Amino acid sequence: MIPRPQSTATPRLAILHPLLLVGAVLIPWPQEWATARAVMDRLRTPASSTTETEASGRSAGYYVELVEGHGRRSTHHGRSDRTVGFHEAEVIQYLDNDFLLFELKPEAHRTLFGRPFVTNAHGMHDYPVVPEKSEGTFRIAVLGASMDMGWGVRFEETYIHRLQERLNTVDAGKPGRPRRYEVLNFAVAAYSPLQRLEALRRKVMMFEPDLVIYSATTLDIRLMEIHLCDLIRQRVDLKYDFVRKAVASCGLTDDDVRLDDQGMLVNKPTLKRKLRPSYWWLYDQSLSAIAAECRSADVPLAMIIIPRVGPEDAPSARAEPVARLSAMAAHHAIPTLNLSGTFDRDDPSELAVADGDDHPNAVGHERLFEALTQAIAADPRLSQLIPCRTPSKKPDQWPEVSSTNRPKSNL
Amino acid sequence: MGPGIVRTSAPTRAPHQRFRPGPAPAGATERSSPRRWFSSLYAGEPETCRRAWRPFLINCVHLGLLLAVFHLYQVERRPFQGHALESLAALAMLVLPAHYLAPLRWKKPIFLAVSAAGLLMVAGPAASVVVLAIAAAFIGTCYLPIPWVARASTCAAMAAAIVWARPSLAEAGLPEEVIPIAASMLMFRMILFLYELKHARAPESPVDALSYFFLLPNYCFPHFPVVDYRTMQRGYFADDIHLTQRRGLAMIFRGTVHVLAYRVVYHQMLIPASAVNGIEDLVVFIVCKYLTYLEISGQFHIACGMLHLFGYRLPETHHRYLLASSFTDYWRRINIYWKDFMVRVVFNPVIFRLKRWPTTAALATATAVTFLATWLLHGYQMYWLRGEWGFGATDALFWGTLGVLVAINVQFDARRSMARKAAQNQTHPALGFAIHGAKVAATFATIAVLWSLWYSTSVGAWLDMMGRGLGGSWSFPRLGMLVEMVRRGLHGV
Repeated sequence: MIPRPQSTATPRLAILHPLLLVGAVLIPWPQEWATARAVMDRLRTPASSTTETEASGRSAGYYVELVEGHGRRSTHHGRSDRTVGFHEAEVIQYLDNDFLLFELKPEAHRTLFGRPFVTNAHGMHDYPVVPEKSEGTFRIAVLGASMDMGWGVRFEETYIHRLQERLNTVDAGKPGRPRRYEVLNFAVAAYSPLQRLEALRRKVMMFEPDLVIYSATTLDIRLMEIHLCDLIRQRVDLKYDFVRKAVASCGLTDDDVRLDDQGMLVNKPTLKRKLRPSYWWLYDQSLSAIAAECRSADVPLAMIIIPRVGPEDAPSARAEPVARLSAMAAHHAIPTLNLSGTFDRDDPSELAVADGDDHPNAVGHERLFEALTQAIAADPRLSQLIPCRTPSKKPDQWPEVSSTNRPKSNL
Repeated sequence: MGPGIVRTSAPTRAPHQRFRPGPAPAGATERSSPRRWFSSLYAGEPETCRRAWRPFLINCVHLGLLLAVFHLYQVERRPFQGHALESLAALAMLVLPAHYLAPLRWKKPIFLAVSAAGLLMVAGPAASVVVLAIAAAFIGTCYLPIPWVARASTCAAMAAAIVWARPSLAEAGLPEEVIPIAASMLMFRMILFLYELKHARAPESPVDALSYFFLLPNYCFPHFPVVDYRTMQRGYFADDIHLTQRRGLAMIFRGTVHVLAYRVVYHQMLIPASAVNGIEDLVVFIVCKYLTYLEISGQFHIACGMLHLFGYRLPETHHRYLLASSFTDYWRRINIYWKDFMVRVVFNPVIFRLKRWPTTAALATATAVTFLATWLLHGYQMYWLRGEWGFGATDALFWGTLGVLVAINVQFDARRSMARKAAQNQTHPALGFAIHGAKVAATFATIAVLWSLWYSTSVGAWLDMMGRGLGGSWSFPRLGMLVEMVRRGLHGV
């Protein structure tokens, strides 16, 4: 005879199992229980795809490749593309014996991720622009890396360009306001904080910016490492005293910087291990130099912290670097807009530019733009400088500011 | 049975018959009360099909909670694959009452219709049409009125034609997901179905065949367990439907736990091979790399659990494989469906052909052929699902070494006498437990090391990593921190 369920006690107990898992998500874990909160974050974060895995130095393996796949295409979102490496995209030109190492090619016209990637004559992923600022124009220069440059999106879709559009829609030409806003995109993919400093000094300042926005991500330390290793590998002059000092203090030996026949570092893991303790100090010094540069030019400086799409910037993963970035900015009296939680509520597949690529797509940039405008509106100093209200606000609600190009600010 | 011997209990069923439905009781043919708009048991239905609201509703609530878990934990949610599991599980939940209430003869068609809807949801209309056409071509070939050899050859020729035309098809705009989805339905199950057709005494019903190939969870798990046709048909309503569903829900939950455990390993514990610089790093890397298989076992449990909801009672896909005490034991516990597939299609036929050989030689040869086939079929699977043949030195070494270890273990098992088993049973329980523990640890360590080799990019990279691990620091800072945390915790308590 086939057994029949006589009691409902067993299934009721079995129901408790998923109920416990549901409860674990819904109950608010105390702030002090950092480990428990981190584990919950991990549990709720899908594992990265193979490309990310390999990028982070983890080998994949048969089943990971089978399940996650390489450059997998969409199965039902109708979107697809393979991850494209920055260096293989042929949009940069290498600079010999130069601290910058590379920059975007001027007048580049390429198709990446099915979208045009166009640069202007100054190697910016932006509209054509001339260094000379026209009368009544308020210029905002953005320094950053690939997130800000707009990897995989048109420059018109970047949060930077959307900010310009918003400012020109709601604020430009109003009484006491500039006639026009220009938000210039000086961000270049893979630029470390040191390269951003160099770009500020070499390129940005000649465009006479009225505000500099420095964009930081949790990947900056890794970019710093790549930049330093490449500087050492190519035997490029370290240029800044604080960089020389940091590298000297790492106790590098000739063996650590030895090159093979192909010109590659033989002992790169050792080199990285020795350099690693100095990265945050170098970041602090870079930020200090950027702040000093802006102060000397009497240009206000603000910092924004931009998230990547995906698990690498999950709340627990980003908590420490974001706290460090905020602390450094506070140390240098730089107002900071922390946008790192912008993507927390969204499905990464809706925001990533491609599978295995943690750059935001057009929707992601839209989210960043919304978060940025809200953060600016909430910041009394920045909102005085660049009022980011929605167009529904009546003109008589706008604050009166001075008639000069640059509104007064206590930044 | 000899004279004077009286059987005091019913004979146990042979393992291959354990899912055969029992005889329908006398009352099963009676129609239930005409006052109700559905019947608890329709005429001709087995007792296992009897409907009862209370246990069914409890199972529905259970499934709803599991759906909430899928949603809250983003289970099996991947960039650019979206919410396929959530969608299919929600679809299953929506259709389950209709499937439950329908007469038995309608249940398989309903399951088929749900599966087709699931395919449409996941792959979209264009890809679904092509997948359906490919599946129809292959399954239709199996029913052609020609000799079995001709049917099998035609299927093989069609597969070869797809391999040949695959690059051109991609260039011609064929949706990229078509071939992986069709392949995940057909690549192994077609082999088993042809095997069944060859050996079956009666023709297989087309509905049975279609419901075997179109399995609802298949579309969110392209890497799908190799479900055996006969086991699946025998397991259909082989047990009370509520018990079967409950068993499936437990499997789904177990699979979810595996997937979540995999995430903890992946995010919290797994380190890159390049970060191995000492013995502790090496141990952490090797163990965590092996534990990444939790994702696969989790997926298989979830997939088979979903089939249980529709009345298919299936065996476990994995059975505590981390606790295997020997290599044969490991082979039997990990991916049980694959083991059964290999035994049925490769091992048994080889052993049968070598029946005149000495047992030792026959076993060794059959094991070697089985592992060779396993290696080749893993490459074949990689090709169909990912478009590239997965053959490499590390694969060959992994399967070769595992095959040798299992072959040795098989010989050892075959020679083990009953007397020795009896002697083992007489050992002290504590000693027996210690021996068993040591065997489990040794098997785990060996498999984990082999796994790290398999997952390495090359043999050189693996040797380099092992060299850095064994030649580096022999301190255990993580272990020290853990001990300190436990000590502080205990002190606090």
